[in-house]
Amino acid sequence: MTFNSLQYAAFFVVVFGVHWALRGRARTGFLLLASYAFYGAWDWRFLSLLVVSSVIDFVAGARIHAADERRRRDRWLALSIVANLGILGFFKYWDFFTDSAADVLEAFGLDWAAPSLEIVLPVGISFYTFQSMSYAIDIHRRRLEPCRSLLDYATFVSFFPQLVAGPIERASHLLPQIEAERRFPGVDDLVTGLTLIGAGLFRKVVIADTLAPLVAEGHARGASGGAALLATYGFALQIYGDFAGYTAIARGSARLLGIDLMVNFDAPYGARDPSDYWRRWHISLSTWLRDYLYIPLGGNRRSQRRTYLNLAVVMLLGGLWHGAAWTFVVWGVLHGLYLILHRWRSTRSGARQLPAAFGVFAMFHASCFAFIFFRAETLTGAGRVISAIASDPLGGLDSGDLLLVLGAASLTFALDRVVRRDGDEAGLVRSGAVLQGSMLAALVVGLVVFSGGTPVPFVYFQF
Amino acid sequence: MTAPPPHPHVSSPRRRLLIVVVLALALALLAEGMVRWLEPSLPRPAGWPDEATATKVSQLEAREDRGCTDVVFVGNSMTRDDLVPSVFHQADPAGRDAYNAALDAASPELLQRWVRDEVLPRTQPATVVIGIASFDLNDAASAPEAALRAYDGAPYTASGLAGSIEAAFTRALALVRNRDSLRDPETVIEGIADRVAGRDAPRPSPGGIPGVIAADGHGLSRRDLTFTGAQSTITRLRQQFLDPFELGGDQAAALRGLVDEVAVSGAQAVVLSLPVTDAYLRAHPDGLDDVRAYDALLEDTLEGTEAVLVDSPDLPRTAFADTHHLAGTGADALSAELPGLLADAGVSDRACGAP
Repeated sequence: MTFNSLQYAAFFVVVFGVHWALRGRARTGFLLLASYAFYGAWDWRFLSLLVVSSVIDFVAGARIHAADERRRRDRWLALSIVANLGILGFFKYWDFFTDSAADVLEAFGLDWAAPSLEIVLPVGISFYTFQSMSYAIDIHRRRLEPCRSLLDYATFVSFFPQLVAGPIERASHLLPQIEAERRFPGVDDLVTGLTLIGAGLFRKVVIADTLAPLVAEGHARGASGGAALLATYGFALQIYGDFAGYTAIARGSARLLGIDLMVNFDAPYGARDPSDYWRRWHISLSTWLRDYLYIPLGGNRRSQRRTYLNLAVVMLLGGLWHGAAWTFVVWGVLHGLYLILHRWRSTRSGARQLPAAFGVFAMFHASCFAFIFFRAETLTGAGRVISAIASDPLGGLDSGDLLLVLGAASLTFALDRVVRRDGDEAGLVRSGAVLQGSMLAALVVGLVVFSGGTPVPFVYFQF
Repeated sequence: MTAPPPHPHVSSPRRRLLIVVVLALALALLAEGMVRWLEPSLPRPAGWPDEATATKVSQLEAREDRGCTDVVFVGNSMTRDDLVPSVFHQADPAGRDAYNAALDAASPELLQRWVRDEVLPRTQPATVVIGIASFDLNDAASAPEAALRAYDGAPYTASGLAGSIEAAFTRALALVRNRDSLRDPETVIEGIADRVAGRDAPRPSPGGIPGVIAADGHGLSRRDLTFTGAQSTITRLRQQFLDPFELGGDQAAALRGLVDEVAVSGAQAVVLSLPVTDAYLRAHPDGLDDVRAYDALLEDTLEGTEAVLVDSPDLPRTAFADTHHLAGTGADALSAELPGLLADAGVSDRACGAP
């Protein structure tokens, strides 16, 4: 049941109606039930993981808070982290690490049959384990009081709009909203929620899904340099449209249920440098990595070299978080290098400030280059794309595909201007009536023309 | 000098909402109008399962414009090739007008929907002749199954609630109908250039498809063929239609449903057993036992209905194009004899629209 399907529309209408018809604890109980039903629609077998993860962190949080001794607190935190990373590691990385180990041994002439279990990846596992883990860590840091109700906590972990692809919420932001008695949204919230859903669908259906075929074509064996080049730009726009679209629908759905989810994107292709980029792209993940990995590693408080190492480690793990494949590792390493280079340059005395436009241009292209690895199925595939572009970047350039990429870029730019101005796509409602009417017409016509057929799954659902 | 007070309605949220909605609606309608203007120069929308079906729909629409049709033939490719409406018309003492609405590989399950949704509303016939052979009631036949899947997958004929909604929008809105073309900027640009230059894209014509479908819906591709008894033809027949051979399930129920639909429309249903070769009969997995089981099931299925079961005359092997399709001579002979067969079976020769 993806957000861009009729099933989700029907599901949400029912949830919206029943949710607001109920009161108090029954309302939260229903929200939990709906969230489990939503997740169960993907694969009911993995509901148990969600429940286990919720129970472990709920108990660990309470015990950490109650413990007076530091060692006991540490022990309960370790249990939470080991359990969460154990579940994530087994389901997401077992096959990757055993296969990679077998490859390494084979390179040394040792034959080892890796015990590949061909494990199915539970949807959203990377998102909800991080969300649940941060709760225990925040209590351990005494920044958060433990949740008193397992019902509230389980709803926090499984809240369906953000369950399968984020934003990765912090308990300090989302839990109080779940615990509180929510009031039926006013006209402003209703309009904001619907606007976010509409803009999200537009990003997904009109921009991302339209580019998907030309991106696949450009990554196929034998693609021309021109096709590979368009696929590279196209994928940068596709994945942004796809993920930002998902986030907008998630935030809009949550808003209609009286809950505010954090902003996850802030016009990232307008970033002037790598640090700026990571303040704008997948904000909930980058801030999570900053708060729970980079800063505990020492952040930038130690030596310059240690800072570089911290950046490299964080981005490497950030890449691996996306998927158990070397292509994601390279993507993470590249972004680590970008951050290190940027830091090295910015700490040099007398370094000349580059023009903003140059920074935006360079960062966008650096991001596009890294995305070649993100999109490719193998490192060889990524190499093929790069070599096709390098050998003849304009060879076989299809003018129709070029128009599609330019059109998608213009629409993305237009939406991002609103995001920069007003914080998110809901700013569309603050435009003049004529502009609003035009955009509503564009939304309706765009969805009518570009939807239909089987809904295309969201890219980030695989993580 | 003081500033004039703000107009009481200008900032009203309701008025603002009204402006937004009216403007959006007007712009959306403008877009729809522009696509309708452009539509003749855009490639044919893939609304129907195939070109032949699209052509038959254009023929049915042309007939609808002229009024009703007296006799309609429906069935699969056997009916399409075996029954020639123009020959029937000439041979019929009552001079009834006829149209062949048969579709390739159409099972009773597919026909039930095709006849109910497309044929009956556009032709309002007095008589519907349903051509049939043993494989029509075979629930395990693979070729009809593939045709049904294609029918289910086409925008105009998709099944289910979502499919019906999609079909309604596809028929009503040029924006939906021409989605594939509108998603491709080059196609749109070429379409605009062609429209300005007055060049229309090719469309299915009521005149038919040269060498494939005649203007009256009759099939043309097998008219000049001769059945040689080639083993490959028989093997293909078995693989696609007869082996395995399972009777008594969905297809028999669908035939019953089809006959009932025809009766509800006020037309007389006639089930015509079409002629086949001996090679066809022998190709059944259990030979003539299967054929006898089929005959019995057909009678059971039609029992209690107002449908009339009519047998075709035996025709020589030279009348056939292959194991079960008639060549030109055979088709002309059967079509010329059909008015008499209907009369002998007690079928009224009333014209459509007559009481």
